Amino acid sequence: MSTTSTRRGRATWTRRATAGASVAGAALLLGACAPAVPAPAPDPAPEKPQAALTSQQVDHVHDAINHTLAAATKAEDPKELEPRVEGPALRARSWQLTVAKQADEPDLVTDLPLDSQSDVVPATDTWPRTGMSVSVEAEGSQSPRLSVIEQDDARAPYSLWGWVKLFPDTSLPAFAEPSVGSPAVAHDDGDSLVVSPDDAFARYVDVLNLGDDSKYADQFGDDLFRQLLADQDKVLNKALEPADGKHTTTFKATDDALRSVATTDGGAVVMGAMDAREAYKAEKGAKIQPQTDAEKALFGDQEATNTLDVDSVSMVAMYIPPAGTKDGKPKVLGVERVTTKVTS
Amino acid sequence: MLQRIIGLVLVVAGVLAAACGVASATVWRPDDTVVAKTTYAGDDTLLVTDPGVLDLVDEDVTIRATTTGDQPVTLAIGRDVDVRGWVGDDPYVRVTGLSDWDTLATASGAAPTSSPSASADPTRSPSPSTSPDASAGATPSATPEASADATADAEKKQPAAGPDPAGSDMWFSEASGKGSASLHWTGREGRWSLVAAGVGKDASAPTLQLTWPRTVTTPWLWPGIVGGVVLVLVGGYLVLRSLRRKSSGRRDSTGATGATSAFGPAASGAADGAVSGTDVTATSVVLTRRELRERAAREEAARAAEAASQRSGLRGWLTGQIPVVRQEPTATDASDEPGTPAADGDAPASATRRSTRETSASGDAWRRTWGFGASGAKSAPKGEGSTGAGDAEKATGDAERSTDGDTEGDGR
Repeated sequence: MSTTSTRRGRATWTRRATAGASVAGAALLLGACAPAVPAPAPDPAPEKPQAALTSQQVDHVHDAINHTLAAATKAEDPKELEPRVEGPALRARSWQLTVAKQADEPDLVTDLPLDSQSDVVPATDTWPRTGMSVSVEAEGSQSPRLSVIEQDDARAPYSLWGWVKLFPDTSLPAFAEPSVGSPAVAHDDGDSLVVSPDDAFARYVDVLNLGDDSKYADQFGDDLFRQLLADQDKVLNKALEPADGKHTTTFKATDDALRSVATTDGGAVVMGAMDAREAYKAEKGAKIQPQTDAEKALFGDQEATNTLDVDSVSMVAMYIPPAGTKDGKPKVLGVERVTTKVTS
Repeated sequence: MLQRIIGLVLVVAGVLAAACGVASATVWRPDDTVVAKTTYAGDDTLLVTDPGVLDLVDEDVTIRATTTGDQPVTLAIGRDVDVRGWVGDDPYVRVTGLSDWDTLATASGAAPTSSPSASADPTRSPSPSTSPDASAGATPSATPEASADATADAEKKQPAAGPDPAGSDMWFSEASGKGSASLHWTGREGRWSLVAAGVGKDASAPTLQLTWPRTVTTPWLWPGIVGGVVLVLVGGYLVLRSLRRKSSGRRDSTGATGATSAFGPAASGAADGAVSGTDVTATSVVLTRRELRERAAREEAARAAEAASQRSGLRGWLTGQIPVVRQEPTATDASDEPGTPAADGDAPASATRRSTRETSASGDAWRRTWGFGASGAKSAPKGEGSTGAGDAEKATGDAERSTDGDTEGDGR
């Protein structure tokens, strides 16, 4: 009797051991068959902001802007500009299109070449994001354009914010490689630059208005724009002299903030816009006619009087050297001036 | 008994291990793709993957987002800072990884305290002070600008019910569709995020599905098989040994010498010894090769002797058979053979092989030992063959009696 129960006990033990072993083996293998799910292991966040656009994306942005410009030019309709043009560029371009349509003169619209010879890509994780682009030579061996493109906020497209025609033989400072990107520079950064962008523009406006009489005249090198304005003023005043007339030009910075991008030497290229009013005045009875095609188109069928006001918007690009540069002076790189209104 | 149980367990475990090893490479073999879906069903319309989720399993991922009905859906991939910036203050759902191999884990996206785009703009400022000569009071018309800006602002500030990320310059890859959209992405250096958006009025978050190829390995196939076979062998050996010892023990209990343990030839030798009760000691466990050799030599010698006796035309006697002494024409001299009654009875096996000549000789010795007239037998063989034969028969019968019991002989 006791032998039987012992055998039964051993048989039970055997069955239990077998079952246990098989369960353990199965569990081990099933466990091996279903490894733990992986956890995300992203690259570490870069220490400083990276270039916000790749070269392909920059090309895409340029294509989109050029497409918008071409469509608006073809339609001679400023509204076509809205998706990809903003700021002073939108104002200037809109007036150019309006003038070209009224004058039936497409050449009054500034040619903005499609291709760029160098790109300045923003390096920032925040908005707005500002980049620049230097185009190839424009038609008729015109000087290259320096354009500012900008993304206002994360859901906005990159748009053309402003452009200037570079002065002939102007050498641009070096920018960081597009793959690295160029950070923006604060508009009031007077520590790292010989003069802050805000001050530089205010002083330049003063110099344009007062010429050599400005106390800041010697803080800027001579430039083509200043020369042009001075020469024009001299010629027009001489022409108005017989009619006891006078010609004055007054500049005023616009509400548009400046756009600044750092250069590799620690300086900055700054673009801003300023409004200007040319005022012609002659003796009573005199009639002052608009001079240029654009002015004529904007003047329309107004009756000429002894006064003529010509309003314009000017986009100015300037290089500001880094602080500590010997004899460092802000240098104007290029200007685009577009007539916006002519009134008698 | 315990040994046999352990052996059985090992055999079963080995079979299981081998079977599991094979199964791991067949029926349990994982799929070549990993397909994981979100199960989010809340009010938010935006799903954003954390950096590292898109290349969680493999660099190549196929992304598919589906919505109910024909609701538009957009997928877009960009740098994580760009995606976060685009999402801005809108509520969104983070896709944080895999909760299991079939499900994407989600978490409520913490709305950033301040949108990146709302950060201070270092480049923007109120315009610098105007020219000192403010008398000009230039007020150029700004009609185009005003209208354009107003329109743009109105578009930007529209309440975003299911905002659409499509078309941003920041994306590296994007796709849109009605009801569903899919996209293929190959991982690259950097931190990448995907935004999947249900677009438009009454939009809801799409169901996001990520599909990765997976390199399937079967690391348990051969270890399982090899390990299983080893277990089976070890277990089988233990069981066999246990069984063999048991049967061996049963035979030992019937044997005369009570051998305790023996393997192979020794066991059979022990069995033989039990039967013959002669030359093999039951206590020997394993015979050395020398012993085996010697035994083989002995057996060979015995066979040779038997063969020789058969060749000589003499037949041997079986154990217990009454030897019949042949009638000899001349009595052999048995004085040189010190036969004793015990000498005939001590070895039955060897006695069977003795020739009748030896038997008769021992018979002579016996007669001498017991005082029968050996000389008479010697002296009257000629012409009295019948008497001699009768004596021989009598002597054989006496010899037989003495063989049966020494005490009887001693009693005389």
